[in-house]
Amino acid sequence: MNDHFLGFGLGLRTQHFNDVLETRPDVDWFEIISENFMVAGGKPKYYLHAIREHYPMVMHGVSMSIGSTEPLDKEYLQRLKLLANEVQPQWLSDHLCWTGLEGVNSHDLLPMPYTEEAIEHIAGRIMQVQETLGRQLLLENVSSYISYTESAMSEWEFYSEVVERADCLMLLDINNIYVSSRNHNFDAQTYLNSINPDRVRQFHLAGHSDYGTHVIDTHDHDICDPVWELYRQALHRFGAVSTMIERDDNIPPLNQLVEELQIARDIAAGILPRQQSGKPVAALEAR
Amino acid sequence: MSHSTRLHLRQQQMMAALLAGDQAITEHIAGDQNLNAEQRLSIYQSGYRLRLREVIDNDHPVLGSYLGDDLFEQMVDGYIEAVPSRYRSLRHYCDPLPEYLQQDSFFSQYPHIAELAKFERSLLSSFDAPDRDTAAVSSLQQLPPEIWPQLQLRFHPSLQLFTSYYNSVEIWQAIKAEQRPPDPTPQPACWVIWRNRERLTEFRSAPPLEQRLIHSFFQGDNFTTAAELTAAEVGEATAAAELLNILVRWLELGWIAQLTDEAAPPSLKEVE
Repeated sequence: MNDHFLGFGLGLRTQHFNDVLETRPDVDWFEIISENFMVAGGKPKYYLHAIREHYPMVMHGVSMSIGSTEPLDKEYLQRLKLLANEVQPQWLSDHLCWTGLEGVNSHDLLPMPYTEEAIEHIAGRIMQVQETLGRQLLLENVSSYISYTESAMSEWEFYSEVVERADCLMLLDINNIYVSSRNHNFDAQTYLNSINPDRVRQFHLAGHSDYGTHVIDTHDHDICDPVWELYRQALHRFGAVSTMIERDDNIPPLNQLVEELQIARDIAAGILPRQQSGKPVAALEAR
Repeated sequence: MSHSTRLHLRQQQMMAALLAGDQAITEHIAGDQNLNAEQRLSIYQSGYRLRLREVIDNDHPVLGSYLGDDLFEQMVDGYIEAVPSRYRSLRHYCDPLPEYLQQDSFFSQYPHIAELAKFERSLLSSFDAPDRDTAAVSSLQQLPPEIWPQLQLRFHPSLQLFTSYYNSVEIWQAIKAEQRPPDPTPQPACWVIWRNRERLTEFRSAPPLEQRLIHSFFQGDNFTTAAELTAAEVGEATAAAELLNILVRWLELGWIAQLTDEAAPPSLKEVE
């Protein structure tokens, strides 16, 4: 049993603020995009605190730029820490990527070359971040459309080595594994099988856009069958891992996402032993 | 971290590809039978522009409608090229947009457009300004009479004075109401923008006296100065009653966070 199993969650989106408060949907937890709440006040903060009173939360960042060769942004880390103090999340995550250089932000999750140089660089920075934040960080695998000719290993070898060396945790994005497997022609199952289950704390599920020759991680569609299939395989390998659906564009009504989340619950219920697929451990223990 | 590393060079090349269309990095990208290196890089290049375009579109819906498709695209293309994002959050990407519009050789011919952009950004600033409780009208009754002359106001952090030199706010209102906007014309005015108790952003025009009083309180002046300003406008006989009316109205609107006789520096915003 995974002691950190929160159950099944959704990304908290502005469009759903009111519905979440008024209808209290059957969602075990919410993930917030940290940067969206690094504002002084107003509606975003009001809803954040109001919803936090009723749901556990995790914080997911998009701009730590852990792989960048520019110095870590200490001011950003302090603001992240302040937000974490406010939200008291179960954990904090960001991406195994870089987002900008020399003060300019691409606002994209740019992939790293899979080299020893990059491992050493990122692992050192993760350790600095963990020391600043006073907690372990979860790092998520990103979707990618390029690979560098100088890469000396597979993405999963790179990811695993970074995480082991930095002693951090993994947010495994099942959709991103699928997207990258299509774009780089690798076997997604091989990816899953190479990941150390002890490091995996959270799953992301999402939809994408399939252009035949390549797949783009758009988060604007329902989750497709091959991703659900990969989720099944992930559950077989990793057991009960906190799972959430990320929808960032073409956002449907809340109840539609809750229905999609039920698919994840049903799949998990068919694979995991009964005590692992239902309510989170904390909720069971509280009864 | 040494900036002479291969990793740093690769990141510089990638940023050059995104910001300036430089293709040097393609030599280091693996292609295959599905997509070559240039096609793969183009996914990131077009994604970069699309993402920033979407932010401009979302932040400036009224400006977008006013400009129409062609001019909006002209502005978006020019802005993305001229202004790389220096912000962690996309929330601030368009902060320099009004300044860009003031300086661009084409858009600077129509200064009300920059003003319209500035107004939309001021609305956003009030939207997520810091929270602070607001003072109630009843707090006036609790004030000891002796502190009135030294009384100062601390406005709600969302409150801004927006000075316009054209009828840009009227243009904004017409577009918002899906009506034909008036022709642009010089029309100096002053507006108060604030976030109300329901956390909705509001604005209203500030008459000359109110404008002068807000300016004065912005500067940390006290009620004695406010009373003099009011008397100069409406005469000694009705000054006290007029000032009290204004104060009550501000309290009712939720503009005032605190009534104080402390000479702490005011923290207020003026947008011109």
